[in-house]
Amino acid sequence: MKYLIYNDLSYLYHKKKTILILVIFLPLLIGLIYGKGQFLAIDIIKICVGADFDINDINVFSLLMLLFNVFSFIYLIVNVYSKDLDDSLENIFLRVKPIKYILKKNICFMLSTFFIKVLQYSLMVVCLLFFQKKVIFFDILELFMIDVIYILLLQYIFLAIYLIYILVNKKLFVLIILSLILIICYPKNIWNAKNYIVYMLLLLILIHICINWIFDKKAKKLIENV
Amino acid sequence: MKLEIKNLSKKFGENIILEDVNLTLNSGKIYGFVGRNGSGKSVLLKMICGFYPPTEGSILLDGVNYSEKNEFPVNTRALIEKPKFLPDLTGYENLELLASIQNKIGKKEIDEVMEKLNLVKEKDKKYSKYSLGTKQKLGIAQVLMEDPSLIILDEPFNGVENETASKIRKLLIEEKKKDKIILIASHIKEDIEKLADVTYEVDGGKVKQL
Repeated sequence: MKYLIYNDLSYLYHKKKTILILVIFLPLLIGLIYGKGQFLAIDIIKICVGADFDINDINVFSLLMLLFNVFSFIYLIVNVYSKDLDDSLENIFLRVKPIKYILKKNICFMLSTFFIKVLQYSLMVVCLLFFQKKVIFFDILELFMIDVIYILLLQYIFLAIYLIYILVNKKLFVLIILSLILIICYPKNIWNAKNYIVYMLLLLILIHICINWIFDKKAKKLIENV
Repeated sequence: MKLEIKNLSKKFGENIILEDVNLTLNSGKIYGFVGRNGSGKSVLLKMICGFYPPTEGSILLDGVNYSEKNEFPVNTRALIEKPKFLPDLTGYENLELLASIQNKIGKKEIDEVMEKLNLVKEKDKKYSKYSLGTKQKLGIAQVLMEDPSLIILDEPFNGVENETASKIRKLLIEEKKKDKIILIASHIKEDIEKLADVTYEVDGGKVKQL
């Protein structure tokens, strides 16, 4: 566990610094732009993470931030998992069974996503306090929890799609079709997703079971094809 | 300990990398594999590590066929291509971190292996500051520190000065005496000939004894 955490942190710091800085500071920048206006604190944070995106009433900032929020976290999960299959083989798989590895890796990565989100939200709250906005912490905590679950579920669904894509020898149409299904079916509004939170958590558990199964039974195929 | 490779073939798409390889490797010996770059040496070692499943055939360690299952050989350590360590940690911290995965050894064993490889002076230096040769020595240290029965080294003398290479050779001969199987691959024949009890040439997918 300690090795996986250090390995991931070192990788993010050395290889994905730019995207990490953007993920943490871009919402803050949007917060600074909207902070001077007459918006409520919770509404500003929703715009900053793209949580209030409404397909019938499109706000450009919300749309861009939703896309950025979603794609940056998907990009991070794919890279952080595939680097272990590509670059740390003898360090990991000769020392630990694939099932033990994936169980620990999932915990490490979920913690990383959680802490990045904590940092993102903390900076936005500090920014809003600077603009003397009335911050209702319960509302922000609620949005934070929904956002974290929304992003984690999306990350792991996409990881499962990516693993299937690797297992079928990188047939591009499989990746495109499964990604399109995900784009069509996945809720677009983070805030409204609070109505489905229990289902999302159950789906997250199910996806984890699938990913664990893939590693338990097909780790060699993944290593070979990645 | 016995490693048996039976009718092993490996294809990537239509490319035949290895074809009908049959080897029996016993403990207490160093086996060398020579061949030009891209001849299939690294693929063979990766297959022995269990990283690639065979297209045909099997690999058995003490009679256990792990190659077809989603399993990796037990008590095996490898250095394939180049060492992989965390650049911001010292050499010692890197070894400590890797040892923490299985918790089989403690500080004493790490100190011992660093001493054997003359890494004591470099112990507290960040890995990113290491020379190529020192990086390679640390890679070998991570292979040896947990006392594995099967040792796999791919191009272990890459970037290593003559003096260091000779120390590594001595160390591997000591390890061999502990009844281990040691597999070494290199594209430089002389590197292998100085060390191996049995040398194989890998060429055109075939593996033949020299």
